[in-house]
Amino acid sequence: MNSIETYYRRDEKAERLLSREEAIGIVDEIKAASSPSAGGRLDVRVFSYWANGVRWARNNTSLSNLGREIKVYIGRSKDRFAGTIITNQTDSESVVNATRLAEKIALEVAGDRPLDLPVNRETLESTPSKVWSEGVYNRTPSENAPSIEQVITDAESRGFLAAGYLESYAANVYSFSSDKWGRESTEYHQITQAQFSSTVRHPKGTASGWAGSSAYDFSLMDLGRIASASVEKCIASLDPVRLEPGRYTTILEPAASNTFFSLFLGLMNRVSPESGGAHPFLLGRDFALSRFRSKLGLKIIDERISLYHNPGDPVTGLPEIEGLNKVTLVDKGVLKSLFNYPSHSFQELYNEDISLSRASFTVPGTDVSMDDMISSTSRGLIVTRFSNVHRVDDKSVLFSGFTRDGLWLVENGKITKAVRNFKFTESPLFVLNNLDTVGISELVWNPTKARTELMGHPAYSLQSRVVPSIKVKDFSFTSTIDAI
Amino acid sequence: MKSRMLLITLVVLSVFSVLPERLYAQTKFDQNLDSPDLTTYIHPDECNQVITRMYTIKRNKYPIWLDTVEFSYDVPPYLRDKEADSVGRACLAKFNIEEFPSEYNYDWAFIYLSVGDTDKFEKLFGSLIDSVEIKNKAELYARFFRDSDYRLHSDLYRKIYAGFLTNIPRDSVLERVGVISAYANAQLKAGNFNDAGVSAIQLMDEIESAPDSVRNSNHFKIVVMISSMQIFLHTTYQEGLDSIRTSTDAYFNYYRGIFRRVMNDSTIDSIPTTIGKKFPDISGDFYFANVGDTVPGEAFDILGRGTPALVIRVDGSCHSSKPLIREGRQWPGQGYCERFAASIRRTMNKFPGLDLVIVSTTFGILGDGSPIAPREEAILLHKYVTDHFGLRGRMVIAETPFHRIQSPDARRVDLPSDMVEKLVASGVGLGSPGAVLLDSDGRVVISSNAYFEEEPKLVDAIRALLAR
Repeated sequence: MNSIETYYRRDEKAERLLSREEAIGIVDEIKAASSPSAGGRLDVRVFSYWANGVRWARNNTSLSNLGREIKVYIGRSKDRFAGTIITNQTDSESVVNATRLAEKIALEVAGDRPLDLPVNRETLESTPSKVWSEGVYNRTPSENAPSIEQVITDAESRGFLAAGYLESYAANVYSFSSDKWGRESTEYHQITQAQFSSTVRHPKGTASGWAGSSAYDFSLMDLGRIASASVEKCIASLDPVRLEPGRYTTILEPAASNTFFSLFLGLMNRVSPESGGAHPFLLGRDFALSRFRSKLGLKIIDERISLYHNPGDPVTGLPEIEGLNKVTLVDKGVLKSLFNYPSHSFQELYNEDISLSRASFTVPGTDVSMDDMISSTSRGLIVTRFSNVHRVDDKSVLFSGFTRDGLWLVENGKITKAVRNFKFTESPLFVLNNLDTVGISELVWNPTKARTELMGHPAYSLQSRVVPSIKVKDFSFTSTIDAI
Repeated sequence: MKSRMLLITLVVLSVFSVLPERLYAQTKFDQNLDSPDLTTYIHPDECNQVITRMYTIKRNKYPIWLDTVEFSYDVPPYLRDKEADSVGRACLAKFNIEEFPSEYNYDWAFIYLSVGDTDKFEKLFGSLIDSVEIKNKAELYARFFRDSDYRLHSDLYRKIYAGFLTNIPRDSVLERVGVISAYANAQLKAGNFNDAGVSAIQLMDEIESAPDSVRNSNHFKIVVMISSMQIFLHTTYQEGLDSIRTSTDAYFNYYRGIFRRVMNDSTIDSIPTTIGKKFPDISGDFYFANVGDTVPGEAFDILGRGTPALVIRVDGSCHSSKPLIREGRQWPGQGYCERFAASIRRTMNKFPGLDLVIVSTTFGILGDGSPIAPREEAILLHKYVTDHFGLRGRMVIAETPFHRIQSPDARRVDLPSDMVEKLVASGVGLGSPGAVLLDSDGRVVISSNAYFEEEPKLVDAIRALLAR
């Protein structure tokens, strides 16, 4: 019986993920199978994941899923042409065939190129991951039941409809690479992720409330509070009134402000401005140095905003990865660093200070609560979150989207009524330059797991954000919409 | 004088009395700003800033969005691009002055053009032209052709061009060449290839008819080179290349001939010939005295053998990543460096007795690899040149000094090493591989930056040299 069969046939008490030793065994088989005469690099990643999720809709459970999978990525590259194969068959014959096929692809593409350039990578020690929760990994379906029951019971007793998703996810990856000089490097990482989101709606579609959170551990999430908040917001958003669109002082809850911080993060690209691309952080051309200069070192947003990522902090959810050190992108409004690729970093900086792109970040907040922000507002709006956000104009970084799941009017320091949803058209650069107040930071729901989990690193696909609520002056709402 | 001041004051006051409402209405329509009255923002000093900024926006093709973003940080919202336009108009209306400070004259005139008031532009531009000397006249004309768009103002273009032909006399060849070159380029940018061809032919006429005293000056040659290079680049990169070829084929053949003649028969003082001169004493940091060496050894004198030698420079770009990318599918055929190396290999096979000296420089990185120590890079470079290029000779590698831009930018800017400076002075230029043939006394027989193109010529020279 080969390893894939044993993996799928193991009983409930067995390990849910492939162990490190098993992964090393697969890599050894591939190493033995790869032909040294082909030259070039060998890259192997052995990835396995386990996920248990419960989905409910219209006050009933609609799905309870349990997923497990192995994926083995084999990359043989010669010069700068690569052949890649992904398989989940790990027996000796399959591994040999897959490796041969990868080599064949690489050689056919590369042609007759005798030598490739060296990549000077230090041999890496495997580093222990901090983004791991035994609670999530060992979670059973029965542990999920109370939170789901609470939200469904609450919603049902008030005549509302509840829907949502709760998931426990665990994954690990063992990666191996060697270049033609025989320099080898290995990495091993494991991560967990928990997510819970709840939407409660009025059966006639006249009100909606939403709350959610995601983290590497359930202990960072208050499931009861999320369940009750979604019901409370639904009640509060009943009977919305229609307001004229225009510029309003607007309080963005963390889930909403996350939209703008995320859009802002999307601009953090060093390569584009430094190659003269149409980018808002291009300062201009420095003729003396014959270089395009970015706005690094200049103040670009409100001085109360800093934005950094510390991969060592498990809350923002990345294990320790080589090349992923702590990076401060914005310090008190000043642009301090931009993401760059290793090749750009090497060619332009000539040093190892690579600021690899990542999707997790922290924006430190203050101790100003939502209540304080509301009480200091004479007239304004509160936004729970945005949806359907899309780019309108690249050059001015203008985005448009809808408010969703709760929008309220504040008058003289008090929430007075629910408001019909708006379409907004606004730029993150404008928003982050027109701040009135910065509130308390908290972990927001952002459980994206992109398909890069295999081709890249599974950790890159985790997007954990800690952001504050913010009060923005003159936020532009451009039309009303009928959606709830 | 007093009455004039009084008149201006009255005019300004009367403008102030009627404008706020008009401006408010206009800006509200144009900008949807929250500001109650735009005029409260504007005062004369700022107007100049606005106009200059607006002029910059309109003149530059790219930085419109850039200014948008910059504005949002350090200046009020009315200075953003679209707003700047209406604010600029408001400024023009509010300060209805036609005698501007001289440094803004052209900018103000150009603003009139950008808001569509060609009459006022012509008037201001005309008065400017009348008030300056011929050299500055030409500069103004050239600026106009460079800054504005022929497609928007074709009639005006012709008028201004006609004015130029009469205003700048034929004996001011230098000035005329510059302006006609700008005009031809403007036509190319607008896609009027036939007109561009006509202008270019006119440019040639001007050059041909220049008196000898002018034609022999370095300044004239440089102007001709720059203008011809501009036209050549434009024609190469324009989409309508075929159109140019068919309409002005004869002209361009002729023109390229002239251009090459100017380049080849160059007697420009700043580029001295190195033929027959002693090749400098090149020193580096890492020496590979023998083909089989794998690590750097002791220093040697590259001219020490007393035999004819071929000194070649393998440029850094040959072993950095960029040219390798160009050898991909998009760029079929061999790369520049491969052709160069093949050409040297052929030559060395023909003349095994010839001494081959390879010089190169480190760059801190290799390909897409991470930064590498100079010694390790030198070892790999030597391996690359011998294994990949198949060149068998002595090799000297110099470490490249660099400057680092202030943090947080911190990028590295390479500086030329002593070796590179000496090589450049000896005819082996920067930016491409090059070769110098030396006789047994170490004197330069011939040097070339395009060895594979001139291989037969160099082979003949080597044969003649060895037969001595």
